[in-house]
Amino acid sequence: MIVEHRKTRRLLYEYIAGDLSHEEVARIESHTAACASCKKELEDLRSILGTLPSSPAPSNRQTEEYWQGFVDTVERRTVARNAREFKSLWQSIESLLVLRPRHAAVLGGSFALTAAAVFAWHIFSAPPAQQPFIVEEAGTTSEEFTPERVSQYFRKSKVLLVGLTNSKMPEDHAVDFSVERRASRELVREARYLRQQPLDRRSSHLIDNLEKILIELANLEETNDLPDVEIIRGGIQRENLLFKIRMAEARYDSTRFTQAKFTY
Amino acid sequence: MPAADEQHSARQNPPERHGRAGEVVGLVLQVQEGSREAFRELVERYMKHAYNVAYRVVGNHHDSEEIAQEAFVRAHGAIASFRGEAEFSTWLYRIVMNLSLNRLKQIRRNSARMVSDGESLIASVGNNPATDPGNDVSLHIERALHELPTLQRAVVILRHFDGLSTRQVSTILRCSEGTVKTHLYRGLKKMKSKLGFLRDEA
Repeated sequence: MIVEHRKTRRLLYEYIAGDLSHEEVARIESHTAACASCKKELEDLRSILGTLPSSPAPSNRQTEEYWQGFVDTVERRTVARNAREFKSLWQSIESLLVLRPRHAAVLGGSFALTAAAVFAWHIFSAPPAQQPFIVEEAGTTSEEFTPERVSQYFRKSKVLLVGLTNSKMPEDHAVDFSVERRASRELVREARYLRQQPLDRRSSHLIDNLEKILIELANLEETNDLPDVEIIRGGIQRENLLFKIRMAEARYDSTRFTQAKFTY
Repeated sequence: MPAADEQHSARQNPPERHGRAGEVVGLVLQVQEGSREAFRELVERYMKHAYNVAYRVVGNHHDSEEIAQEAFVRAHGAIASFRGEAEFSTWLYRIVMNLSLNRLKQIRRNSARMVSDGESLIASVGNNPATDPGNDVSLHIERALHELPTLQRAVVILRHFDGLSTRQVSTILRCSEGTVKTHLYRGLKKMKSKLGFLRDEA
């Protein structure tokens, strides 16, 4: 009940101002109908709010000419402040360069050295257009090797290659391959791990073939690298990779089934 | 001459009603690009609100004028950092309220020093008789406001007198909406007890 009193009293102002939802209005009305003290609070608040609006806003005591001058004054002060800030900034730079020549020399020297280093780097380094994807050695992984993981690798590769084979390649606007590139990188990493596992010969051979395609895919330009995509598509068809992947998937699914049967 | 549209109303139009939010956003963007005309228009829209809030906190024309002008100058200086997360009016009010509360602290410190001269705080932050139009009700209301604790006063000024929403007030004062409601209720209740005689006279 005390909680209800407190909640009601906190909302009395909004109730009088008409800022409450239907549910809140109903709750307050049902409470004030039953609670004499909250009802009195409501009446008191109404009466004080009825008294307060007779007070004019302080701004009314000033004339329109005053308010016009107010805008002008603010503008003048703004300009003066900007000028002051600019001056103080310039003075800071000046004091740094003029009053402390040693510091200025050190600063200038550092700047010159940095500029020279950046220039040399641009001249002697390879163009940084796109970092080729370098296959890392298989990382250690905490996950345990399971036939399901091999099956998953083949399934993901299939989805990626089917998407690439079936996608339309418009010549008039750029195509974004960023998702394919990212997926390929992940699959190449996974392939590195899988090749270290005891797999059958056909699966190892397929992973090797897939890896070549995936590396090419990972090294595609961000956009509009259509000729390379055509080469990759040709490779997929030439190697009959999609068929081989389906066969491998079937093999690993049956392996899983066999394991499950032995387990039970 | 006083503005006729606000003659009989303490509760002013909330700032949003002075123009659609989209217009204000457009003006702010123009100011960010360096438009002086847009800045003048923003000042014209909000100057009376800024002045009224400051006046109700500090209680005299001289300080209120200084605070309102300084708030616009600071807003202009920092407008590049205004990203529109809150409404422009809320952002401006926060500047005004901070400046006003800081000024109030100074006034209180000064008045504490003047206690020996027999001057009370209320007298020092109350109306200046030279500029007061002689409206007793408004004088009593202002004095009742000045006797409220700082946060209650700020809430009553922003929520009741300036008509901001509970959410806006909570943003300006950096407190919860529940705190705003509680302080509003308590503040008005105290004002009621101080202004009860006005009702009796009426």
